[in-house]
Amino acid sequence: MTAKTSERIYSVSICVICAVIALLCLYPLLYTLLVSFCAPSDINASYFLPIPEKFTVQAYAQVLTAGNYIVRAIGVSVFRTVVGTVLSLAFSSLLAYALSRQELPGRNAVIKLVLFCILFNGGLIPTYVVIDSIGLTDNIWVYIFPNVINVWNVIIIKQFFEGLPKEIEEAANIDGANEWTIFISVILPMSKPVMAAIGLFTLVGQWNSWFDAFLYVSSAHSELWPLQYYIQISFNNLNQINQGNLDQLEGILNIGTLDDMTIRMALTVIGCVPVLVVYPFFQKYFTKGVYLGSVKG
Amino acid sequence: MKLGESAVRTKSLTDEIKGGAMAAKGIITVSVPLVCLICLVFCTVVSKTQSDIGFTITFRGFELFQLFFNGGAYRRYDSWGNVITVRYPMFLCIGAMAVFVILAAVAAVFALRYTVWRGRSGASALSAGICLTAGGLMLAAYIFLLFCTVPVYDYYGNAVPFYNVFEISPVFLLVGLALLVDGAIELRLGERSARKIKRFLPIYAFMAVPLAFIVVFNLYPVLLQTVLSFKNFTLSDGVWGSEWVGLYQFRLIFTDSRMLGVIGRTVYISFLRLIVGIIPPLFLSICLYDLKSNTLRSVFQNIVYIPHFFSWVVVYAMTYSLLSPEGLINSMFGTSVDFMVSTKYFMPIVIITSVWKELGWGTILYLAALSGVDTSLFEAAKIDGAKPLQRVFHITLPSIRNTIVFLTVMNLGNILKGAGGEQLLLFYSAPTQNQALVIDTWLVWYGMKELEYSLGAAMSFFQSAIGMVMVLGCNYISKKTCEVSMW
Repeated sequence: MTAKTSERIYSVSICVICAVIALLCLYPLLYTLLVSFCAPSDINASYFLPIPEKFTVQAYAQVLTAGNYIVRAIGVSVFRTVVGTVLSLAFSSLLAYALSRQELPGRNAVIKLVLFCILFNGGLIPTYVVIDSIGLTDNIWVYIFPNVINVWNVIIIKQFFEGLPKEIEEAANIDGANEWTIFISVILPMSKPVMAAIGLFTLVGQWNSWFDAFLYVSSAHSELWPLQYYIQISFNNLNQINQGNLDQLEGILNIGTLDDMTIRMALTVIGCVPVLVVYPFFQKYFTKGVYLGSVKG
Repeated sequence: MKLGESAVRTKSLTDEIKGGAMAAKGIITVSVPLVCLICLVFCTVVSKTQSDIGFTITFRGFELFQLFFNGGAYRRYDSWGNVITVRYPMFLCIGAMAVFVILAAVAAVFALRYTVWRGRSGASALSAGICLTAGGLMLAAYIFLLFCTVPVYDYYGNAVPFYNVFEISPVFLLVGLALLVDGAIELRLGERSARKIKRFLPIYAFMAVPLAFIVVFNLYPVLLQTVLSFKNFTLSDGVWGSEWVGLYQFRLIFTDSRMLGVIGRTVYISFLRLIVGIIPPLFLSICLYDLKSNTLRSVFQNIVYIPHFFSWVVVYAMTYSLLSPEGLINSMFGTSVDFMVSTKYFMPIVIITSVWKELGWGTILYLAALSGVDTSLFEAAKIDGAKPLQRVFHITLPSIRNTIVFLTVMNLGNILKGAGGEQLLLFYSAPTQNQALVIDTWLVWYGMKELEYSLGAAMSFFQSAIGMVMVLGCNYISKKTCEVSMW
């Protein structure tokens, strides 16, 4: 009897704990979303969830029309996300395919080199010197080229390729298919799970990144700033930002009848919606990806 | 008859492949020293800067010939039409000439080995030996010239230490390395592997572009970092022209109290993150694992993973909306405390938001490990009357002990890098800047902004070196104690 009650208490309490944690995970997102639809009078009057009395999309309209800074920033973000992800997947999988060929002369040396790059990286300043010296500062390709090869991803994809059955490859080889054909029409179609997982991580990483803009793109070239960086400077933590573009942004923040907070939250929602939209499509692949990545790596 | 014919044809075919592969090898081995020679003749190999008058002359290889025939004196007109004379000691001129002769000789020996001496035994070993010796000599000379001072006479006729005024271009280094590789190719590449390499040529072509990216964006910064951290970088001299100062920067890191403070704070914050990165996810994953309903579990799982995909900027924005003076907490209590800029709340905010972001994500590895646990153990324990919490402590936790140890050990290895500089850069404000001063933020605020490139490079060199040793060591320990490792 007591055993049964304790079982029941246990299963109810873990259920409650999980539910509370899940709610806590969603709550800030929900709050942000609701604030972004609020008229200014609604926010301060409310408690946990500001339910807008008058549902308004004015903040979004204002953000997307006032000057075209934000629209251009979204364009930069989309560019870096799409091009960056495609190039990164293409070149990482090419290298991984080469390294997955066990009989390739020199393979071990290259693998050791890749592992070395995982363990030892040239820190912030040397990387800055290199990027500056090849003319990538204040250049939109600074978002793409340094991120093309992520050494971890190469190892993960290589691990996956090595697990594929060798027979199909050999059969294709006997049929006279060349390496390129084998890679494109035999290996890649079999590798959807790992490609989806790595693709998602790269995509999210590119969309979410602001640090490279902060380091490599000066305020004189604010047309190259991605959305995340705009969101960042729209908050009050402005002491490390150059004055250049502040005025433009302040312009957006101060016009109209809306609260600052509403506009900031609208920006934030625009900044995280794409990630939320792609998440369900990749959701079944990424656990596998992270597991491959961290244990077998 | 027919059989014999096909056998002959097969033999001639293999001969042809063999011949082709060998010819390719021959072309590679001969062309490497020739390309090196051409590079040295036409590239800048030595440059001379006189910083006090802001004047630079560069010597290309063929100008070194002139130097040799002029007995070490070199004359040139500067942009104002003045004659400038630089005088080198003779042994350097002879050395420079010798480099050209040696390169030509190596190419010639290889050419002979693939034509006249083709069948002769020992020809391969001999030519490879000569090539390797030449490469070794060039490297030795390069290092010698980097670290010694050879007197030369400057524009005004004063003797000055060689290296302060002259910069040997890294081309020398590359040539030495190329020769070593060339020798290794000759020595290690038998006929069979030569054939293999020919077969794999398309694969090598696949690797070319990605490897170029790795060299430029991963390896070259490592080289620069190593060089910079032993120099004293000044903007006017550039990376290669700055003065060598040996271990000065490292000594500064370990003796300067401010730097030690930065390192200490890095370790402290990393350690906090390590603890909250391991225990709360462990707790959550045990709860998730013990849920009865599979649908409920996967719903919860998919929800708790979401925050991981938000950027730190977005997380900062959300935190701001809750904690700023006009945010939720303040409007609920009718107060106006600015939590975001108060020194008292800075660390709790940083740690709690990072728990919020990574809590769900951290459960993935634990849940993966738990999915391998034999469920009949739980049934048996239940029959024996074990209470739920007893089952957690006696079955669940011990069965994922290895994963816990592995994660702890790996995070310990990253202790100098795990302070989360990106988050701190977003969350700090003027009053809390000192609390946010860890290695990564120091690099941005002081290393970059105040042009302390050398100290910054030394700092990240130290960070990487310690990280590498610790990760390898911890990986080894983890492999020994719990049979889980990175590779």
